Amino acid sequence: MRHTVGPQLSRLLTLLAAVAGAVCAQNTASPNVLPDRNPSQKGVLPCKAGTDFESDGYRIVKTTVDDPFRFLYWIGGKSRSIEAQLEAKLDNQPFTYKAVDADALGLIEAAQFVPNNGKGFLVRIELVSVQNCDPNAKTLELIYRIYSTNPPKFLGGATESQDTAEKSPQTTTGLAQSGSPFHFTPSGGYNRSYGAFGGGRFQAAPNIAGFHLFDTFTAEGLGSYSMRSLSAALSGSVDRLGWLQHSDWRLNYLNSSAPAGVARLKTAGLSGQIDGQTQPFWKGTVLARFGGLLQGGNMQGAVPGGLLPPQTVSNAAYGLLRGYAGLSSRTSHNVFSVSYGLELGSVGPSARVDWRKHIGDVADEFWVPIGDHKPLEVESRLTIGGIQAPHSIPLSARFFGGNGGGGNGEEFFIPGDSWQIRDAPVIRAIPANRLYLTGQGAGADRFASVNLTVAYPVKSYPIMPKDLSADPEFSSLLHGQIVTAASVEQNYYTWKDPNFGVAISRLASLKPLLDALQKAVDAAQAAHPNQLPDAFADCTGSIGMAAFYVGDALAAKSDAQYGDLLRLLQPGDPLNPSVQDSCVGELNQSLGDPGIKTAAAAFDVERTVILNDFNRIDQKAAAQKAANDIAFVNRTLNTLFKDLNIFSVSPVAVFDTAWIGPAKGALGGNRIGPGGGIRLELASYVNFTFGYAWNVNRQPGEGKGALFFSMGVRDLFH
Amino acid sequence: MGSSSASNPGSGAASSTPTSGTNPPAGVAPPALPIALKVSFTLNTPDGLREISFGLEKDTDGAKVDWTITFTLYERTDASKPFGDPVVSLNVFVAAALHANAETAAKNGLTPAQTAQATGPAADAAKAAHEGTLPLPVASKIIQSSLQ
Repeated sequence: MRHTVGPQLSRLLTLLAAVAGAVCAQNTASPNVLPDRNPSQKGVLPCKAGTDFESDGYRIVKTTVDDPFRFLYWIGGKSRSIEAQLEAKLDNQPFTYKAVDADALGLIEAAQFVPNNGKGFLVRIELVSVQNCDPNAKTLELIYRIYSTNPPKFLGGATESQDTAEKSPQTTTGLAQSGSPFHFTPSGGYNRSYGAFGGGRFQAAPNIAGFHLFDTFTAEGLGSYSMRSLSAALSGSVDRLGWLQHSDWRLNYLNSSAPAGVARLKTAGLSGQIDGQTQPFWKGTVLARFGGLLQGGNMQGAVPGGLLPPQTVSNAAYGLLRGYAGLSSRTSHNVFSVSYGLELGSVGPSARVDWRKHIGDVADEFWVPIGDHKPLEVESRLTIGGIQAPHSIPLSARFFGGNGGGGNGEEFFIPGDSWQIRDAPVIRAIPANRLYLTGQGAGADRFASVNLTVAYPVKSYPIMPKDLSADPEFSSLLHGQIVTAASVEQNYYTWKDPNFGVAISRLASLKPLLDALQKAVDAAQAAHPNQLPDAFADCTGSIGMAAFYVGDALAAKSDAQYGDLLRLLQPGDPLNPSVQDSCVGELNQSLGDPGIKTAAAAFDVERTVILNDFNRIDQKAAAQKAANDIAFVNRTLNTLFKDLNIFSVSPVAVFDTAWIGPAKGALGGNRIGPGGGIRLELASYVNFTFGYAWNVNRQPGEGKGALFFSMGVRDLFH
Repeated sequence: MGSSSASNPGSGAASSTPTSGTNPPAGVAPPALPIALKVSFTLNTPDGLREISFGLEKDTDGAKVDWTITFTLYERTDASKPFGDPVVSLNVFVAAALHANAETAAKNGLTPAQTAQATGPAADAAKAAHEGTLPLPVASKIIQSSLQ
């Protein structure tokens, strides 16, 4: 259930007020939640390149530490502490390169701003700059710009990952605080069906290394005077390089009870599911997802007589099997997902298929930057569903629409956050579960809904300060690190190429040939004492280097083998000349020793055979796989830096239309719901959307419209 | 745990000047002038047994520029246990002839061949030098080859 305020409403509003107060107080001297994103630079003097500020006798008058993630309190605390220490050491002191460079950076690195999760890669950029250099007063200011990221390679599906980036940028950048294994996130909301409701999510994810079948426990609950939804889950996942990039599994228990107009729907069920996500393809723009779920339990539906549709049972034990598949895409300013789900269900302990449910869900979100960090966001979603019931179906399994979750207590077809397939008609103008009366009774057997949301921030603070995002040097450094990450991935795929395996299998034969060559060189040196000492030394050095690479390649069991073999076969390095260059091209050119000639030729023949195998490696395919792997991470980080805000206030316009059937007269049919509201987002702290939508073509028994209000608050354990 | 450094005689020569801090157009605040930068890339191997950190550091005193490779290697035999102290922690001054490569590598990233050198031979050379099985100047050359 997504719409989320409750018993703790007053506390949450107090927190919101406190946070807002901190935002408004950012220009005061007190510690700020939000740093000044665009400091005034009026009257700032340029600093002349080539100046030796130390020998010219400059004095430091101000020291600043600039970290884009300073708004995260666990980073902000370290950042402010470091800034205070640097101010104490540097301000009003003579400028020395040692003090401002090595000493200061040592202090910053010791603070370890970014948690290393031990997976994937970690990038750290530190840039020391001077500004406002006054050549008369001999004063200057220091700026330390720090950026670290440890992005998870798996960022989930496209639309879900965008939602994560907006609400929790620290997760996307791998900066989520890593100490406590416990997380608690309050949530709350209001709609007319449920009243004010609240609850939260508790998650325990112990920091355990290695593979474990289940590594996370999650319990979630929401409740009000009229509804409850409780769930508990054990889950695990694995990431890997290859066509199947990510897989997760989950054991889930759900218990819910919610009103649906004159009806009440109750569900209790235990399910097990496993999902997979492929490596991105089509130039790294699309990935495929698939999965299956097995569930059993009880559904109960209390409904007045006459409203029970044909072939529908009020109360039943049930079993169901769900299969689902979909595609997701992410480009620079658009995320898109299309999903299909099939549910086969049976009433009671039976192997018979009593009902079939089909769900199609298409979600898209694009954003167009209009002004600096002011993206016009357009979210759209089309969901369709149909039920075929050759025998019977529980009432709670039918479709119930409105501005809340589905009638069965689940807003989405599968539990969990990583893949959200909506499975009920959503229209914000009608309270939860109140779009449900059809020509056959309570609960629809088919539906279609379209939801459109447009938002534009009228006030925003970017995550990445403009000074930083517009700094070409900094952008270049960051881009370079992402390129390095792609290079690492490419080497992995090269190492996995079968031709590499063939090449490495022959490598052992080189060792005795190198030994034989060294013996020939030793013999020649003994026969020509005091001749060509440098050439003999170079040749011996090259043989030793080659033996080093052979030994390391044979000892290594991972993709580090690739670097050893590459260097052995394709030296091209003036610092480390090849055996052929040193021993044949340099030494034996002058010496003409037949022993060296024979041994070097034998080594070269075997080396050439291995080189031919090595050259058959499909480097292009490896490069493409690496580019695909890194593309989603790269685009997500780009969005984070260029478009997202840590704080924004946005007017929101919504338009929904939903149709349920079978329609008969005023029962079922189409509803249209335009509306508007306001959205406030304070990334990692709180976000809420408040608005009202009108039920334009309302039918008897339906309201004029509905309020929609949702709220999410940051993890209180962090 | 080891910490050592290898200097290169050529590293002390001036090779380039820092980014220009010329006067901006009227009304535009002048950009800050970079005087030092440090980028580091830390890679955790898929088996979780090795962590390699390869960094490039650029320092200037206004007239001359120095580049340094920072190299740190952690190893463990059990992925469920912490790494502990680094097996090797090495600073290698980059030869002047490679300064342009260092600048390119920092700003454009390491190529596959460069990362292969850094995570394979360079890591092994650093470890061998620390263990005394490879002379430090040889290890220094291998590590600097990551910029070729």
